[in-house]
Amino acid sequence: MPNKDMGRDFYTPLMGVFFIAVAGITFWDTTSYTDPDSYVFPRAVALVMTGLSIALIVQWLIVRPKSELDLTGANFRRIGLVVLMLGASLLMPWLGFLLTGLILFISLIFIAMYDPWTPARLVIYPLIGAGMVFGFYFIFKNLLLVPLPVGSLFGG
Amino acid sequence: MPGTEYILAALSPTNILLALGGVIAGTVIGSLPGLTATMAIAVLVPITFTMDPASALIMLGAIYTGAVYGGAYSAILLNTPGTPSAIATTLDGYPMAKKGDGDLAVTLACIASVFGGLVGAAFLLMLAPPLAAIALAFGPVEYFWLAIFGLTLISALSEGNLLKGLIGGCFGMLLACIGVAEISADVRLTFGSELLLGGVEIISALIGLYCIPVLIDLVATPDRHLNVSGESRGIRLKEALVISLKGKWNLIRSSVIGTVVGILPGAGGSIAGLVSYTEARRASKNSEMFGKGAPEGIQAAESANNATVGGGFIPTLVLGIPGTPPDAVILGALLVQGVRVGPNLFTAESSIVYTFITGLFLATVLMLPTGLIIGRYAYRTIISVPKSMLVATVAFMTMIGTYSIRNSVSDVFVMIVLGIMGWVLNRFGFQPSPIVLGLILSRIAEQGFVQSWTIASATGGYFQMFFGRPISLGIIAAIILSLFGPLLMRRFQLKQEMNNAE
Repeated sequence: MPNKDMGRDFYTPLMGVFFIAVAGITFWDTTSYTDPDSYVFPRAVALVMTGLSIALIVQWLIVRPKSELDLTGANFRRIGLVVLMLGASLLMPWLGFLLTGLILFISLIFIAMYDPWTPARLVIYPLIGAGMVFGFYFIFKNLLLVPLPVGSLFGG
Repeated sequence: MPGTEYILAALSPTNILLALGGVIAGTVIGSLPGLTATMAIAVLVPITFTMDPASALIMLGAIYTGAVYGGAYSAILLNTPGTPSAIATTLDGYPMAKKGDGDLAVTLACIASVFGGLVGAAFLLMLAPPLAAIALAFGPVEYFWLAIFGLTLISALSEGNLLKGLIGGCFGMLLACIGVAEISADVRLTFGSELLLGGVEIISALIGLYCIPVLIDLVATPDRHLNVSGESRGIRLKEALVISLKGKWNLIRSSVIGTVVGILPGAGGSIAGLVSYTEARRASKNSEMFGKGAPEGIQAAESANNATVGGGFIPTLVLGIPGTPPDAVILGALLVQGVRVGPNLFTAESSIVYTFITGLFLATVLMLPTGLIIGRYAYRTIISVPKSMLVATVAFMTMIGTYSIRNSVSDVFVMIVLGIMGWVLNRFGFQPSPIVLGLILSRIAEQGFVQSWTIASATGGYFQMFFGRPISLGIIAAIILSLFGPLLMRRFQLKQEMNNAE
């Protein structure tokens, strides 16, 4: 899905506005703090960021650059990866680390697979994936003593 | 200075084995994204409680030095700094690996790390007390300006657009403000979300901003992750040694910078690497190659971050103030051992200190063979793993690594969201390094700024506080030079070219 935009760069001023908005929200949030020690720094940073963002927009008006936005590649795979990872992080408290890890690992193998699936690969890849998940689970839980989530569905 | 007895004590078979084991364990742990040098030491520190203090220190120093170097593997081969110290290594390490020179990059990193580690240890041996006194002269306002100086280094990291880099740095600083304020305990920028209450953890942000964008692009094309030449070229040691010899001044300068930054409490390997990287770029005749796979970039970053090991021990041992976060864990281990750190340590407990420093030299030297061997296996593994397995493994490792930092699923979620944000921002020309730098420097900058502000409020002299101290003025001069120096140089060069053309 090639999509390399070489037209006029309209994104830079939008990003400038976005960062001004971030600074504005920060400034608004600081009005609820009780202690001056809490707001003096974020306000100073927000102020500097606003100034820099305005300068970025002015620079764009003067230079008028071309867009170099590059979105080549399979976007559905990109979205798939992100959705799977976010989903796994949300499911982890319920399903536990082991089951979530297994589902995530095997799903990601399918999402990132470009080579043709052969019967051997269909068996070996998920098996290796399961081995990796169990291996890491063992190392982190028993050697590094990290209390990995058991999952509320399993009494954790 | 150490006598033969200390050297012999450090070279006992037990200490050699401990140093070797420490370097290997540190290198392996440091190479895993999410597992930092601090974590490597914290996990392995109980093993040292039964040892004599000198052996314990040797092992901890070896783990530390190994972990700092280990971070370079994933920085070079996966564009994910294994430890924060390796941020600057990604800038040229990954482009070099993408071009098919990952093996050479890993070997260069190993040589530079050993060199930097030796320089840091030499400074520790010879100059510990006077250098520690310099660090004591830094007050809160100097730390604030130092952090701002760090931010101006963004000009070297934002590939041409200084404004975008500085905005990214500010954005990183605001991200660091999320959560409960350290000084006053106000809840900031969470907008009522419990998920954000714990704030943005730096290591998880680092994993998200560097690693997730690589995964998102990796999964989108069938191309190989790294280019590989047809024939096996081994570790390319001879080639790397020639390059290292050519870049000897870069190595020396970066190692000295690393040592000095390591001495400043709280600064650490990440800042040392970035400062040295910028200076190397500024001094290089091939500065346009930086960011595209310049060996000098790797040399600067890796020698500097390993030099912080020796440098960081200086305030730790002389003043009892940890120079870097891993030093804080080591300091705790020393207190458990009953060792009283402080100015008298070098005289009252000289046998421990000098045996340890000799042990640190030993561990650093041992890093050369172990680092080269482990590096070769790491490289071969990465290039031979099928893409689908690599994506799944790295994604899984980012999640478990992030979770293990604070045992928090929220951190994992925040890491992925930051990664998506990093990918989007990158598309619009906002590089991840300035954002990460802002995140890292924010704590130092805020503490320095708020403390200076409070003192100035009480005394009524804001200008005097921020612009009236000699060290501050020196740092401010460096900031101005760092921001406008490249612009002035470019104008000067253009003018000269025009004159030549006429």
